[in-house]
Amino acid sequence: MRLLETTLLTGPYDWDERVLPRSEYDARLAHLRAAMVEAGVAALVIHGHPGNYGAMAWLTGFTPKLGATLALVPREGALRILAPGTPKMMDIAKRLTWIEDVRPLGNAPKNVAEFLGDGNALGTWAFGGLPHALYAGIAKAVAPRALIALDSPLDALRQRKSPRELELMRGAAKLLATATDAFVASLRAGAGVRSAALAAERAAIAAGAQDARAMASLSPGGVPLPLDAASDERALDPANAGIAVQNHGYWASGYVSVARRPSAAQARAREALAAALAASRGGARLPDGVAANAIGLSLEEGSGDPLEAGAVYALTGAATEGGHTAYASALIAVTDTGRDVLWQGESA
Amino acid sequence: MNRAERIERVLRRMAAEKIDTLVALSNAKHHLARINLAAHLMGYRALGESALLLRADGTQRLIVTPAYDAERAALRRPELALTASDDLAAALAETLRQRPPGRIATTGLGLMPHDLAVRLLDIIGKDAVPLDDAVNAVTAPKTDEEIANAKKAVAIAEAAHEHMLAVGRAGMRECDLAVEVNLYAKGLGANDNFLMLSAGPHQLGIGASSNRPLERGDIIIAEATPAYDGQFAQICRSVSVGPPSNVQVEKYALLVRAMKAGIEVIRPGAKVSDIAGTIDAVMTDAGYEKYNHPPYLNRRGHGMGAGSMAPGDIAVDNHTILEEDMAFVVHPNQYLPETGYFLCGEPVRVTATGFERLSKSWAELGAVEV
Repeated sequence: MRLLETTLLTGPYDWDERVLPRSEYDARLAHLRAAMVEAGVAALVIHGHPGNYGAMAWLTGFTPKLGATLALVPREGALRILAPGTPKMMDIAKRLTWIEDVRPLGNAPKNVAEFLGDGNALGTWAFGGLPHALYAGIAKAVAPRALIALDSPLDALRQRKSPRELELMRGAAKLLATATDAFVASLRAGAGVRSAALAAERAAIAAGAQDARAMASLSPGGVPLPLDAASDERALDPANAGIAVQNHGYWASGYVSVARRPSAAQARAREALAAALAASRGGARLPDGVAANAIGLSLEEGSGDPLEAGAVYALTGAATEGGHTAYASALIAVTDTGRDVLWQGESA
Repeated sequence: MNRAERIERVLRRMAAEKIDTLVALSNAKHHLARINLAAHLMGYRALGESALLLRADGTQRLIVTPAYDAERAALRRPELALTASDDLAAALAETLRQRPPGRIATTGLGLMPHDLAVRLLDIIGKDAVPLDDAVNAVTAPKTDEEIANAKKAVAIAEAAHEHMLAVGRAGMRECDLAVEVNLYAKGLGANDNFLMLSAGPHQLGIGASSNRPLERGDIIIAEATPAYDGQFAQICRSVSVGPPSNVQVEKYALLVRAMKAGIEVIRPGAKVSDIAGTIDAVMTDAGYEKYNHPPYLNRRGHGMGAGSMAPGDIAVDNHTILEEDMAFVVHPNQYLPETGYFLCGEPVRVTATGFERLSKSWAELGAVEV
């Protein structure tokens, strides 16, 4: 699910050791450093921004609220975060992470090159989304040494969820159920889609969500899209919503369709999802008609083709008939032998 | 000015630079404090990376991603030819193949995600001319639609501030207050809100809201910046948790006086630096010359974007000439040794003869219950 990026994240993002203790991060750091050694890089730079900070949060807990942020990881020794903002803002930024050394981004290419020092090569993670000019600046500053992308092994690492992460995703799934229920109830009460989307967000926040975003159809049976203006308030039948909620950094997302009368599209979407759920296990490829993506600290952490045991996936069955689209979706934790359904969105 | 006149300004600049095709690129970030000239020219907040192609003959084409954003794009900008795709680079290549582009200029390339930018560079060529500064300069005035939206956004900001005064209390976390105010603003029609809010008994600056609970004696400082249909507009306010002290009331009144003096000099032909200089002079007269500079402040205001931050920072080194229909916030926001950091700021529009305040009431030092 793709959301319109918000201009500033405002929820509770301070690192809470009771939720994700230092031992969880130490284990991740050990795995990451093993990958660095294998790749032969002296240091690693991780990029995160307010629209997608999953890689950075996985290692540091840090949520970049304002803009592009870099985490610098040596093979040994202390990590450092370069965050946007003035020096006066760093005390507040330090609350977001277990890492003690948080500094202004400043001249990022120079700061990265100095951190690399005499190191032979610089590993990168999530640099594909780095602003091009900043990427070029860093590449120039560390030249002739290479930038080596480690996305593939590191993305795979973070897709496998620990027991503690799975608990947080179960919590996110409950919040998603709260939000989708509120959307359906609001529409049933005669509200327009904008009010219903806001009701979904409010319900999730009231239940403890860190963030909640709801998109909705702009026309009967339309694909859920960001709502821009008060004029988007329309009573629609059928109507769809795409909702994402966040629990201590972990996302749950899903779609819900609301219609007064059953439709063939609804039935087909449900059948497709049921077939996908029946086939879901580690190594499986899903049947046509259902899209899947790994989900966790990012809304989209990777492909769902094939499914990997240990990862969590958002499954979306969709069918269109007569210009109306209907959805059936689920959130599943995949094991070697099957799957655990964390949430399932029924058409209402 | 309407959007067509803004495009005319760009076309004249393209002609002067002998540019045949402008490829304005959007990274899908629609932030108060970030320039996104493609969004500024489109008048549209695309869901994914997107582009506006503007030919020298005035023809335009909007390319949006992902493909399913087509319905929304067509609803918002029905006058534009539209291509919706899941692959911006491929769609751009196909569009340029259908009609050779001639000499190309770009905006926003350096802000595009690196992987995509590499592909775009292969298509538009390394000789494409960066035209960011020129386009930013000639499109500084807001359109009538943006001004109308800015006024709605300011009304929401003022109502949201009243809501904050009503619901804020000691013991509530900063972030929970910020989220509540955001939801309230959304309920009034905002589609986003740059709400920087922090609190403390003696703050050195403002930051994004944390999990810290509000305490009696804190000053909450907040930049409330709702967006209405994409147009941001800002007010800046300070609020005491419990009754404010006499010295806080006195120093806040000084800042408001400095702000009013700065706003009074606004008219077409004046320089942005005149505003900042006037504010500084008031503070200097009051004995605070040392505090007219970083780290005690960042700037005396700034543009309010729907993609453009023109006329830039309100600062003594910004000599941009003010034009009618520029809109920006004047905020003397700064640290004072007796009180810590204070925020007060009002949004204004430059009129033909002076200025128009967009807010209904001047900033006052507010208070919430303990």
